[in-house]
Amino acid sequence: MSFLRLVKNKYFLAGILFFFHLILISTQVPLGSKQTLLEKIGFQLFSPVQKTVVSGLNFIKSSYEEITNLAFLRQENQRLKKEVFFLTQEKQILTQKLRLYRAEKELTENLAFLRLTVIPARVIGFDTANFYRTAIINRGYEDQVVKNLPVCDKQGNLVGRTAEPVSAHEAKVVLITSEESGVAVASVTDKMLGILVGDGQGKCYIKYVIASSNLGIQGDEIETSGLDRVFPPGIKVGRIISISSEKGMFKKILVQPYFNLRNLELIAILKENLSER
Amino acid sequence: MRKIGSWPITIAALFLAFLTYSLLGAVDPALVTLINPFVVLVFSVAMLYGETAGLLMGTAAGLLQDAFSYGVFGLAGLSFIMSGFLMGWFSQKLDLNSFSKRFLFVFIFSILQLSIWVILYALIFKKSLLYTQPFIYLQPATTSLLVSGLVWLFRKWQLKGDVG
Repeated sequence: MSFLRLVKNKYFLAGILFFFHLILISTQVPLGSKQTLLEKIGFQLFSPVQKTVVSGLNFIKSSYEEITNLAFLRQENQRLKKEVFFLTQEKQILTQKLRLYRAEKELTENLAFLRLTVIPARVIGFDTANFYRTAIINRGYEDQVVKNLPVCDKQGNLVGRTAEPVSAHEAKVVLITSEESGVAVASVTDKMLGILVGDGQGKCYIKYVIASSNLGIQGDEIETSGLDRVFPPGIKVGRIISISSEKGMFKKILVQPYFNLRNLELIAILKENLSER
Repeated sequence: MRKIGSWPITIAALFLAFLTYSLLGAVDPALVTLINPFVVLVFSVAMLYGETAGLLMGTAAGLLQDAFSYGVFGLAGLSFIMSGFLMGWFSQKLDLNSFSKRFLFVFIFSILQLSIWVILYALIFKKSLLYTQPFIYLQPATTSLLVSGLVWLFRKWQLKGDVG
């Protein structure tokens, strides 16, 4: 019987393999942890496969994690967007409050020189016919606001005076740019006296300065003189932008008021003025 | 002896078993003791193709498993060829057409294979695997379930091929 035929016999083959394994084990046992060549070959051949499988699995794992993270991130993003929205709103409100607080502080500081009690008020409306004429403020007689109290902006520049009607929590302010306004003023440099009247278009002019007078300097600052007993002296009003004496017996002195109607958010009512009168 | 099929298919099956083994190890190392893909392969081949096929696949799979375990090279192979050969031999003699019969048959041989392996391991290393690997007790059950299922699937597929 040839060897090949013997190999084809299953019992013989089983016996051979059984002994092969026994020999393998018996040669391996004395070697301890040392590897046989066959083991090394098997390991060398298949370890890259294992590495690939593990890498592949790790890739799938990380991809899955990324996908799940993506879903989580989407939710988180939605939540954060909502939070950002509310925080932005809150920030805006707080910024507004801070701005108002700072403005009020600035207002009080700017008007401290007047030694008057300052009632801070907010402009809540303007004259619908001509916004250079009057403004509505959120203070009324409940806040001890009466008519003819000087009103300044937060920089301490003259804005106008309170006027009727004065309700419990609202009052009207006649602006110095109104034609109905009249403020006794004086120029800072040459002490030119006059009455400041609004032109109804955002500017004012000083009345009753004789054309032959050499008073009046272009660019000079105008402030209240206190002669009208409504406005205390020394409140800044504006600056002379042009002087002309061509028509009539009085000069036409145009004044640009310092207060800016568009930034007229917070104003100050000077209350003590009333008690001094 | 029925033929296993072509060599490439045999190698592919071995490769697949190794892939499964690597995959299980990567998912959770405990799964390697719960499911032994090499045993599943050897038993499936033995049941489908007989004792010689079981013997040869047992040798290849056993050596491959040993190449990746820190132990005595040839230990798993020995347990595989013994159980694979016996399983193939008995499967030709017994009527194993129902799933439950196959399950019980594989279960017994799985215990046999495991016992051979554990005994040989204990003899060589003077320590038992039974106290260190808790999942090993479940291995016969998972092996029999998988082998029975695979054989059932293969026969069904083979039958479909024959009809077609």
